[in-house]
Amino acid sequence: MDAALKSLGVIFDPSHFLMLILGVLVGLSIGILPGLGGIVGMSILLPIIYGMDPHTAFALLIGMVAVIPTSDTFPSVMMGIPGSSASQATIMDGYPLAKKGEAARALGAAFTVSLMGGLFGAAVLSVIVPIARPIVLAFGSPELFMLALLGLSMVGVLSGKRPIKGVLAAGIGLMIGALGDAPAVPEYRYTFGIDYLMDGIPLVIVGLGLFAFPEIVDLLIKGKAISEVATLGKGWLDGVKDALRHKFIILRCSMIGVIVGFLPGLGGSVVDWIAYGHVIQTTRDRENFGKGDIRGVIAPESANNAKEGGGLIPTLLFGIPGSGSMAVFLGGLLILGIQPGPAMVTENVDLLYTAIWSLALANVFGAGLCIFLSKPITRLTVIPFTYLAPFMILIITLASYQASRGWGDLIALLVMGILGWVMKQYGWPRPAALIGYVLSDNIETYLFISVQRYGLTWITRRGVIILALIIIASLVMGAFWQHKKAPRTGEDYAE
Amino acid sequence: MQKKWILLGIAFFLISSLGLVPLAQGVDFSGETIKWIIPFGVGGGSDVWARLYAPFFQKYLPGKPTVAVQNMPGGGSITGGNYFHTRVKADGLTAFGSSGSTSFPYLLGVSQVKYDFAKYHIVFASPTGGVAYIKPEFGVKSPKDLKGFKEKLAYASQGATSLDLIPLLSFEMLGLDVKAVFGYKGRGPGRVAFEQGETNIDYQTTTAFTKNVRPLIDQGLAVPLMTWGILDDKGNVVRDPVEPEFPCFPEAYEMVYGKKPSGSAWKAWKAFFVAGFGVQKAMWLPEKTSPEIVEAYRSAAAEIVADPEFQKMVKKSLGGYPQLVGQEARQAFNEVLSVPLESKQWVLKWLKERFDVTVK
Amino acid sequence: MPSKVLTIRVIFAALVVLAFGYGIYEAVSYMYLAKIFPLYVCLAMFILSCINLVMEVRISWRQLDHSGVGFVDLESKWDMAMVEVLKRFCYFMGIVLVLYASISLIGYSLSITLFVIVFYRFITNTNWWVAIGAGLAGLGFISLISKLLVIDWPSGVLQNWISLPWPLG
Repeated sequence: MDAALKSLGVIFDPSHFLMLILGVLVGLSIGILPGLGGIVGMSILLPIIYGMDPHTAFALLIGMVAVIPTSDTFPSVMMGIPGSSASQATIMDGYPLAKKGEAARALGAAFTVSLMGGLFGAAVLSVIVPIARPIVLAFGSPELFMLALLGLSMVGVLSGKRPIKGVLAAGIGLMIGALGDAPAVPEYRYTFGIDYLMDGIPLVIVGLGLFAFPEIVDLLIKGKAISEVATLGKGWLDGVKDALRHKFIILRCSMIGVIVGFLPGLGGSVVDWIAYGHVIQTTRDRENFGKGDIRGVIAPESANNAKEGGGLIPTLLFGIPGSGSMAVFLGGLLILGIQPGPAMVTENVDLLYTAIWSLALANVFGAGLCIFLSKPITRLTVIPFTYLAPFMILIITLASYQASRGWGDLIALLVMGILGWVMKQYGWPRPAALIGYVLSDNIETYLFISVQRYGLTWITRRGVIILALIIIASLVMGAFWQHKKAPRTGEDYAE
Repeated sequence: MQKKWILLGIAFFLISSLGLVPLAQGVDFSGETIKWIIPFGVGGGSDVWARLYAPFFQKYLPGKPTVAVQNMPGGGSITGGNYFHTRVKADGLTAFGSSGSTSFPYLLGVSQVKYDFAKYHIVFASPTGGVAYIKPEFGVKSPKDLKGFKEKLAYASQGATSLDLIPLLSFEMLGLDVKAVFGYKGRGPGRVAFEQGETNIDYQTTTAFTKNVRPLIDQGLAVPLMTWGILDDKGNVVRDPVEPEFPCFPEAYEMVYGKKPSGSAWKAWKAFFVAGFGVQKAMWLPEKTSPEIVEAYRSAAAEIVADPEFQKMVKKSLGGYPQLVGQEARQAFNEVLSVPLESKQWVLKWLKERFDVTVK
Repeated sequence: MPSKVLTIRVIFAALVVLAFGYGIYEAVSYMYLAKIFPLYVCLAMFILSCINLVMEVRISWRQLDHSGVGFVDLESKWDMAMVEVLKRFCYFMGIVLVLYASISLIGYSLSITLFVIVFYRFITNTNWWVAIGAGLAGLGFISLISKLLVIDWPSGVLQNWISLPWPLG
């Protein structure tokens, strides 16, 4: 307890406070630009933190990492581009809202909810530290495999009325993910002898290629502005009110965010899909999902901020990063001379609390600043897209190139872009492909390890059975409501 | 007409040779930015290593240039290595940092490898140590108890051709029945697997061992076995100075069999041990770099090693191992470069028979 | 008859089948540990994609309505004929290819700057001053990122001949 209060005092010390704000500003600028995520932000800050006092450096790093899931809602909502791996699911309903001219409402709801989710994550982090270790240790490879499978099962929800295409799209994603080096052996799969492909195609390029590129092209083809409506409709205050109305969803999804973020190796990459899928499966009236239902924004956004708090647990307590940006954060810790691990709870407990407070404060500032910025930024949705297009192309080529700094990145972007465009035109759900891609490595690896280590006995483990039941329950619930609500007409369900 | 071209040619030649003049004069990097290519992602072990060193190079290289780490991840560090080999100019403004993951494919003869350490100039090298430990329930208290040990063990591995080659080979040479479970993403997850009971034998680098495994040992949840050891200046593998209470691998071998290790397996072990631990990370300059520049880097490295602030940092973050500079580094790395063909073939055969892994 | 069925939609579905088929073929040649995952996934997907191809052909053949899948993401509603959409798509792809070609010739920094300027002038139809301003803003941004992340943007053939001042080199 004293440690907690002591670090609170430390945080409000002017120099640390300033560092926190600086971190938040860096995080916001990075998050706003599509394709640049936590990893980039970390790379920028790493050279600066060398030699800094750990508390100050922490404030800076965490300030940055905390607000990226908040600010990357901008590209998700405004253009349907997943900003970083965190705000993917937000595009499903956020972007349609922007097209209806309700970008401000979507953003307002998203930021309010991000704030609440982030604070929730920080709160859970502070409470759970003493019992975190046994919980994390309870999730062995078989359990993590089932969890990845749970993420994959969300594909069903996202395929609308064409489940077969959804599964196929997920399969395409799984194979793109399998491309490159196999997890355990020096075998390079499907590389056609091209050096670039030895490492597989980076997430940034898959995300930008499948989503950003087709959007940009389509908007240019249409020749208008992002918003199909000339004037901006409901404002951000309405968004805030929407958010407050759905408190229960926020709570549930924040919980999902923290729990999934908690588990090493799954990384927050699927947390928003699980939250999104969950909210659809648990509502009866799901007519508007995918067309601009505000709940489709609230669910993933609360989850993805909460997951940052959760993600700090494996990173700080085990030295295992919960996600890509956590991996770089870990590097930052090592540069500062801090070895994460069990020692954190005993020797460095004050640092832990600095982390928690920084997380909470950063979320407050981040959300506040974003709300402030949302009015001017949403104006961008009504200007003709040709003003934005060349800069969008600049940003996505730049973001792709920094993934592995080679020509291969640019070409891969083009190839994924064309694939994404074709998929968009002919009804192949790209979110399913993205989920497949993101989960590919984890599914293969954990299944692998489970079978190697336990033969087939892992199927009878307690955790595995519980998770299997959860998966089945979610699939059933998803299908059940669907059937109840939608009587098929002969024409539009040609089978 | 022809005269004009000749004059142009001479002029061109004169102008370009002027560009070479500053280099001949005494090495001075003032106002320059030196790019240190690290073929790994930001935040990884090698990246951290380079970033810890960079400010010291900034301080000690003549002219106090800026030293910036340029990450070039890809292909398991092969891409960065190839880039260094084919594209980097030998003007002293670009250096390369390699790690065990870069040397292993080179040693094993992976076809994608274009780089060749034999051609580059080494500036300095950083060794690392590893400590192996086992679950207490087997009643093993030291390598002596491994004699005739019949229990089945499981080890969390990243892959047979990764640095794990050394622990796997070590266990095999000690006669242990260890099932290698492949797919773990590094030693961190490996340690978690050990704690979870998914595996029962593991090793960690010394830094991680001190921070994360010692508490387990104190709680009675792990029993330390041995370290791999460290290279002394005569090229022998001796006890790890950071963890001197544990026997090194050759000693453990002797405890089990009563004689010192020898033979093809041992030769292979030693070669890969040097590449993976003895000289794990190293800084290189391109083949055609002038001797003055190489010397400038090496003296800077020597001064760095003598700097008390640096020594503090090494103890805190790099394990506290003596860093090898210049000639010593070159000598040590020669162990890697002069691996006899039969050792390489032995390892490739072993990988194929034991793990069904073929190196392409 | 052929053109009713051989729509891009159907061709793409067929390509998917071929892709998974190739996936199976390749996977068989890999090491045991590396082949399990891709092999089984591709097998399952191959079967599904064949079923899907048949479905797509039936839909095209009977000229039924493809839409109504329920997610905005899955349908593109165009207020113009598909042929027109494809024409414009090719036009913009052409622009992108020209951009790429110029990156390989004159380097990224120069290409993108010129691209922004030309785009603004001729497609967005602003005047030259605004266009140049926008181009310089772009150049400033990529230079900033280059400094912060220690990245060298791709250089082109031109950069191998003459050495240009910093951001353009």
